[in-house]
Amino acid sequence: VIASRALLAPVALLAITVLIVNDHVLKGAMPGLVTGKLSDLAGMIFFPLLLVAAIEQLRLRCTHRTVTLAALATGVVFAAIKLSPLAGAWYRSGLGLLQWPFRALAAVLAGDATPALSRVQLTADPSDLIVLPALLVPVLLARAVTTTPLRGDADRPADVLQA
Amino acid sequence: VSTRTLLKLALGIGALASIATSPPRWSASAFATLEPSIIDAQRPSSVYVIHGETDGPADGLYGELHLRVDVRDRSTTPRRSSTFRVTLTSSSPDVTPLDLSVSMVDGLGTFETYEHAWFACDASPCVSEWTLTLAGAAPDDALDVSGTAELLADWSKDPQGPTEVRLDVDWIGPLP
Repeated sequence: VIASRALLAPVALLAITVLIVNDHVLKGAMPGLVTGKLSDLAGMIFFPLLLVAAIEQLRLRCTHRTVTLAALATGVVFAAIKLSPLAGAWYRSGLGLLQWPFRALAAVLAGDATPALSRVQLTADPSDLIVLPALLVPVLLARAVTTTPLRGDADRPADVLQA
Repeated sequence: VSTRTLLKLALGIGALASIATSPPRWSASAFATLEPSIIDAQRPSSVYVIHGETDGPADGLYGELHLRVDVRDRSTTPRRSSTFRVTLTSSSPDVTPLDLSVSMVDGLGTFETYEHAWFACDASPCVSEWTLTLAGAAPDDALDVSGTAELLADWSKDPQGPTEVRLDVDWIGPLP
């Protein structure tokens, strides 16, 4: 449960909060260079941990190497989306597909017609790759969790999480 | 709150935040086929007028024409390699005209391009028009022409943007 513990580290929780606030508040209020990169930066910090923590929920054993692999995969996919029009198109369609059930539910609740499938917006800016070094954060967090001994029953998330 | 509950919350919120990270871009498209035509000594070129319209203006409106032309050598023994000529001009002065030779191998050649549509649109409808001219490389070339066109309108922030894209492709014959 390395990734699960690391995902509850303050820096990872802060990254999730930053992503939400930046995407839904700051980008609209202050569009620009900083808000354009902030969500990407936050994603690099927590997404590999989220991915591995989800795998851990399936009771599959993961080590800090799994987190390193997830970080690498996140970096490769992120770079492809930013650099390749084809990967960008897949991302736009794929995320649009994942968003559709929520938009359909919102439309049904509001009494509106079911929305059509639509692609999402993507700014394919190669300079966004500047955030890639942030992938070291989840790797280091996982290592820190691996080497931190668990103390006392109340502080043993591993036991609690495996319950 | 137990650690397990916190983790489930973090997983759920993190996953939803990841899915909702990019806002949707709304889109509509239209498709048309190019009326098959023939290029030969009597008709040395084939000209199509492509007319696209959508409602607008919409916030962040973007348009793209995807054009595909297939050319087949009509001669009984097609040359191993040859070319045909394509020119594509837009009604928008911001679009650079295309004028190029396309290779044909074993009597078959395909030309495919993506062109921006409705660069500037201040009032509805947003209109873009292109003229596509095809010709053989030599006066005695005999070619069959067919193809497809697809026009996409894509916009952000306003789900009530264009509701329809209209696309007409008219063959107007050889160059006058």
